[in-house]
Amino acid sequence: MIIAGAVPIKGLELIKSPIKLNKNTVNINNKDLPLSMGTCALLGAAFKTLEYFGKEDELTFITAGDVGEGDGSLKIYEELHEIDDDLTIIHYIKPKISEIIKVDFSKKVIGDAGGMYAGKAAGIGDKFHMFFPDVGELAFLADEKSSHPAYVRGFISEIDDKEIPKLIKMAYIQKMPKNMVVKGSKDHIVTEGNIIDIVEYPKFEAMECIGGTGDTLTGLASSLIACGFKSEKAGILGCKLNRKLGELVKPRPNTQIYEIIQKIPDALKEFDL
Amino acid sequence: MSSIFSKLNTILNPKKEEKKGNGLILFKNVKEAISAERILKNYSVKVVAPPQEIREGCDLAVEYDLVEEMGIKRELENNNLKAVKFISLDDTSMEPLSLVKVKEIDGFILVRSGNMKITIDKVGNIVNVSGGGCPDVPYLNLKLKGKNILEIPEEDCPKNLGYTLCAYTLNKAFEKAKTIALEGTK
Repeated sequence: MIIAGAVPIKGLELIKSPIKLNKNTVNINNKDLPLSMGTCALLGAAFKTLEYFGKEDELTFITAGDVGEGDGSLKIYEELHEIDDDLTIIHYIKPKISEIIKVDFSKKVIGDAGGMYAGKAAGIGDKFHMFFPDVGELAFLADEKSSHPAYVRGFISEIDDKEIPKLIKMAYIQKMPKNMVVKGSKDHIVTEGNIIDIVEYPKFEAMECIGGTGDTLTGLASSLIACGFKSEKAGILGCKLNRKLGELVKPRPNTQIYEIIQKIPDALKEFDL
Repeated sequence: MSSIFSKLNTILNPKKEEKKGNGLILFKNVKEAISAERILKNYSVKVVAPPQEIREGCDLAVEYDLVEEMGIKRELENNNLKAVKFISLDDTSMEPLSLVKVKEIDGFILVRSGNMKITIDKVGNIVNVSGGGCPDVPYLNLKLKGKNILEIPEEDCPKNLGYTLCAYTLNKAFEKAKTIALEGTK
């Protein structure tokens, strides 16, 4: 499994490598990166999940430093012109339509964060295997005229959270992946535009505050797919596991994502996986 | 000579598919649009004729990659060049999200603007930043988290450190959170 995404270190050259995980850092090529929200949180969750199944050696990280200027993102995109792994997740990256269309989609590619933004903006959502939007991002997917979540037409952005099924229908009028998990106070698991399950409990409002809780969900579900679970099942289990993590950590709005990631093996154990 | 006609033709008749994900910066006059193109040479910009529905005559605008809006705004500001308007070419009636929502959770304040969220405690300490998808968000998270929002200097605000639309949206949440923290101290 490949995770491709930028890290917030200006000037860091392209790295393609396995990783090691410490308590609150990710070690890559003898460099410690903070295990905070974004690509590193996804990476941490994926590593912990794969490690549980004895497959952590199968994880490859493709990254480069990018603080928003797009230099590192371009290097990552170039590395994805040919992909030699069954499953790739494209995560925090500067959305570039001209670059995302050059990605090798011959194997499964999951889009989240900038990877998802770029895929939708380019109108190639159907080439992806799965998207992981939150409710605000779903409004962006639902707006056929929008190419970034910051530019969503008012009448769509103001749609209430309760109208998620309506937004899902609107999104699937366009080109969308076969699978989607909409993260929120209720998680909606979607296959081919149909809601196949809703995971709502246990509920911890503080999880919304914590940077990286969406990233851990993507990391959990994607790793389960890499371990052989069907995508639909992995989506549902990922949502349940992420909420189980809340139960184990008892989060407060100031809880940090590395505290949650550490509990992943316990959550997996409780589900008898 | 033919290359001049070719360039003019490209400006006046841009291919529709090139506009997806792009925006347009409108200026008071042609001179400012041309200056902007020079100032923004490190960004993906080009001088174009605005679409008919917003065209006011013999004017030019600067087409840009919407994602780069934050950095572009800062660059123009640093060069004292004031744009009349930023619009999305995906739909010229589209403007950046302005809705900001505030929620109290366990004694902390969560401020959400679009896809971006910032959480502060009662005295203004930033305890978490979440959401987004552009690469400056994790960078801003590291820069902001743990600091008191009232003590962050202007040059370290998301609008001055970020480059993308996610940073722009985060800045809206940041400004609102700052106002709330300020009111809390009164």
